[in-house]
Amino acid sequence: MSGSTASRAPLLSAVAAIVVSIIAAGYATMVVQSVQADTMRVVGSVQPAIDDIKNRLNTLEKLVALYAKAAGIGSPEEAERMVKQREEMQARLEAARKESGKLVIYGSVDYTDIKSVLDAFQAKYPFIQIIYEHMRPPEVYTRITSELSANKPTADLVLVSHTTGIRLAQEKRYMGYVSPEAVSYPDIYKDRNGEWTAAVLLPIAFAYNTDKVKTPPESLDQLTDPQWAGKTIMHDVTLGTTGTQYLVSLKDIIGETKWNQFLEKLVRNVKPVLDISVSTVAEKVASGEYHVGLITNLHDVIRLKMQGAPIDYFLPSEVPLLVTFSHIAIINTTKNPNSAKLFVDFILSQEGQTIIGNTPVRFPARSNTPARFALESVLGPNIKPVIYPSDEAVAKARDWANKFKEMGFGSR
Amino acid sequence: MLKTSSKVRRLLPYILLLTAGFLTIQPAFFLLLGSIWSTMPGNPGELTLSNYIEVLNDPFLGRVLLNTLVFAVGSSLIATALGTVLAFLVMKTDARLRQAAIFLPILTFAMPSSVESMSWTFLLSPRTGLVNFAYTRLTGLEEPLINVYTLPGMTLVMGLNLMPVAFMMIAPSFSLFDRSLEEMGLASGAGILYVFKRITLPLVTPSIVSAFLYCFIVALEAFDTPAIIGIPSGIYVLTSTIYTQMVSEVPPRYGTATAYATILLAISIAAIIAYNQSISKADRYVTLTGRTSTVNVVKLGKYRYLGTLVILGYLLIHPIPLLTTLGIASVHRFWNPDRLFTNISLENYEKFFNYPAASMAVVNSIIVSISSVILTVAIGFLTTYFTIRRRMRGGYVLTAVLSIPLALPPIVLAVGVFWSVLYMDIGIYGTVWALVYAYTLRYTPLVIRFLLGPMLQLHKDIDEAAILYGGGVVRTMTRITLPLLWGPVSAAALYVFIRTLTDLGIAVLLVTRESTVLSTTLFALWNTGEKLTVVAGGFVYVSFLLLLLLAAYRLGFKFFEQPTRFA
Repeated sequence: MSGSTASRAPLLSAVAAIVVSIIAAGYATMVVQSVQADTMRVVGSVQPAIDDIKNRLNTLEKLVALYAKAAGIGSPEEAERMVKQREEMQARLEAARKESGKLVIYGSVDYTDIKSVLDAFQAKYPFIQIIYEHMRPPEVYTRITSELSANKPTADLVLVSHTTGIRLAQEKRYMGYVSPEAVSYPDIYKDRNGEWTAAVLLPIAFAYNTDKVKTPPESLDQLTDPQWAGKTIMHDVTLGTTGTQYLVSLKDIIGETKWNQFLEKLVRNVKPVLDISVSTVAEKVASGEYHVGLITNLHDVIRLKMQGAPIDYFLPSEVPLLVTFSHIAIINTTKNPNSAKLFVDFILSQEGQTIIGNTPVRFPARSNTPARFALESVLGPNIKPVIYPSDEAVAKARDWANKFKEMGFGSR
Repeated sequence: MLKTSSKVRRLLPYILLLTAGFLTIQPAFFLLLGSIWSTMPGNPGELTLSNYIEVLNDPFLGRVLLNTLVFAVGSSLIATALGTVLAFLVMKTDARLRQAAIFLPILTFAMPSSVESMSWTFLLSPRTGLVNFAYTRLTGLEEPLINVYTLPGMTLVMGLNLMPVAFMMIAPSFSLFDRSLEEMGLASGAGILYVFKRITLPLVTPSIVSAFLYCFIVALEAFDTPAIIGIPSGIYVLTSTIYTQMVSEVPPRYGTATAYATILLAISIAAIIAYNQSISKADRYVTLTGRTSTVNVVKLGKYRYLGTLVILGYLLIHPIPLLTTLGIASVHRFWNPDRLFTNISLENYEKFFNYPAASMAVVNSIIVSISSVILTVAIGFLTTYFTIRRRMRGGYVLTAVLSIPLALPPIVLAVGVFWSVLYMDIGIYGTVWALVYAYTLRYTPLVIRFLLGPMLQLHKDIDEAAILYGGGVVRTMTRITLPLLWGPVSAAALYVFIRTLTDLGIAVLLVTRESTVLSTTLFALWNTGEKLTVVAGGFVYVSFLLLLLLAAYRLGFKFFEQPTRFA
């Protein structure tokens, strides 16, 4: 008896187990089915959103490609570089916030001409205060070098005429910093190590009085015609300054023989009256005192013309537009390198250059600046400026000044 | 106790004046160092004579020196002669227009001298100068009436430019007279011209010579007229060379520039020593004794119209055309006589008032000018007082030393002061006080020139009487000497005040943005070609000054003691 009971019990529990498992399985199937239905429903409702995202990604990809193409990015490496730059920029901004919040700039560009750029910079970076001290180029040099040797605080940056600044660069006063904006500048306008970059161009031209002269001389021959005797004014070439450096630089451009002939005829036939100020040359042509003015600032001529004076510029066919510039550079003793770099970036940026180029009358240095006084918009797209002064013109300015004096320039 | 304190008191003037002397020598020392050092002072280098060798090898040095001397002697002669005649007419006679002859010249030197020189080119350029423009239009002739671009032209312009200061130096001497001297002359039957020549003129000689000396040295180191009128005339003087050495090359050739400046300094010091020699027998110039009576006016009688005509003539060749031309130019966008009436605008005034930081500059300028006036007058007065009244030992040497900065062109002096305040750090670098320092150096010699003549005219009796009655040095000086010399002292103060406000060029190296002054603003505008804006700025200043002078005059402040008139 006990055997039959004993054999029945496992069977019973097996049946119970089966029944339980069947019930469980049935329940589980039911649950799974309902979950499946839910999932299908959810998936069904999500699908359009996924498609939408896919679409957007596609569009974005196309847009990025378009933008990249527009920005001139040809490869992913370049894109990476740009991202890195952006990160650097962000880091610089953070670092700049921790600096003194003050930037001192010694500049030979007039304060009224540069003020609008400084204001725009301050609006963009309100935590940096700009102190701009205007002085003439030699004084910029003297202040910087003397203050450094006396251990006094000096400027963080300079915005100074190139011939002056190059001397500071030779004396190792500049910090190398290749601004990301510098790629938009021709090589002649920037230092390879990023010590300086041109910010404002200073073109030199000739001027004539439009009341007195109908067609300006078209060649150096016409310019040295005796008809201009007593009616021509020129910046004083016997001083070793702009006039001297301009004439000496012209030597290599038009060739020494031609140059000698030109000077000889100029002093013999025309004997220009000399003036100490480059600006006055234009003013005296505008007043009608002289018919032709040699070696004057293009920006003065255009300013006077805009004010209604009877004046315009010209260049004989052999003479290209000679240009020098003021460059921006960071002094390597600065305690605010990050703020200084932000400033360099800004003044070289399209935004900064456009502000400069819309200031009457200042020529921006950046190529293709969409500004009123961009060299291309004033002189036409074919203008090919040539940088002066040449090395010889800088190194031998005084010797040449004396030679010009001996040739008869300056004496009446 | 009493002994030591009196010793201290005796030493006090020496200490004070030695300090002044030291502060004067210091910038000069740096400049001298600059001329014999191979780099800029403060930088490693070595002693060298190369700068001097270069100067002496300059093939044009001879011609340039000759031009410089002709120009300086000529213009200072014109200034002193004209100044003496006008001072006599204004101070001693009953000619008309005397007030105008005092006021108008003061207004002309409120204009920066570069502006004054430019205005002569607006008037007398051969083709477009207003005078020649009108002349050629009216007569149909080609040749201009007067061409300013000649050596006589630039000398005349400089002479007229210096005339007001010569006038202000000489005029006060005429009121320090014992009238009996002239009356005796007149009573003994001499004519007015004879009395003027033989009695009046010799008595004011120290002042005239002092004025001549001052004008001579200023003309030697002047830059604006030689640059603006001289260079287009083909006439170069020493300062044209110095200037280009300093501003045309980088690094600036301070060494050769100061070597050239040393030549100017040598000429000037020689002139000052000659002057001191000539007045060493000073007693013969004493004209104001303790017995002085009221000074009276010489009645010109039949010559009155002639005197009036001379004054009128002067007004018509200098202040009136000058101020008129500048007034006209200030409302022109650019200068072109063909468009005299179509080119009118207030743009220049707008630009001037909108120039950034102009208001701070005005406040700084007034602080600088007033401080400079106080310092220059104090140092100048004490020096001349102790040298002449108290016969302090070494006094004449001190006046010569204090005159050194006068012989340095302003841009050279500014560099010397710059190095001094930078390397001998007394905490004024980059502040307005550096500028006060520079102006004090530059204008103390002027105050000395103003006071030397009149100081010589006072009789020793006056001090001795005061001392006899127990008056101390300070008491005698402040109660006796100063009131007697109030005329020249106030003339000097007025001149320094007006001049320091528009003395362009000296400030450039010495100011920072915080310490910027009016003159740096004007200088920046001038250098960037906004010359007519500078004219407008100068005109604002002139109008302001005119109102101030008129108000002061109404309130009874006399710039010169006018002689009381006998009925």
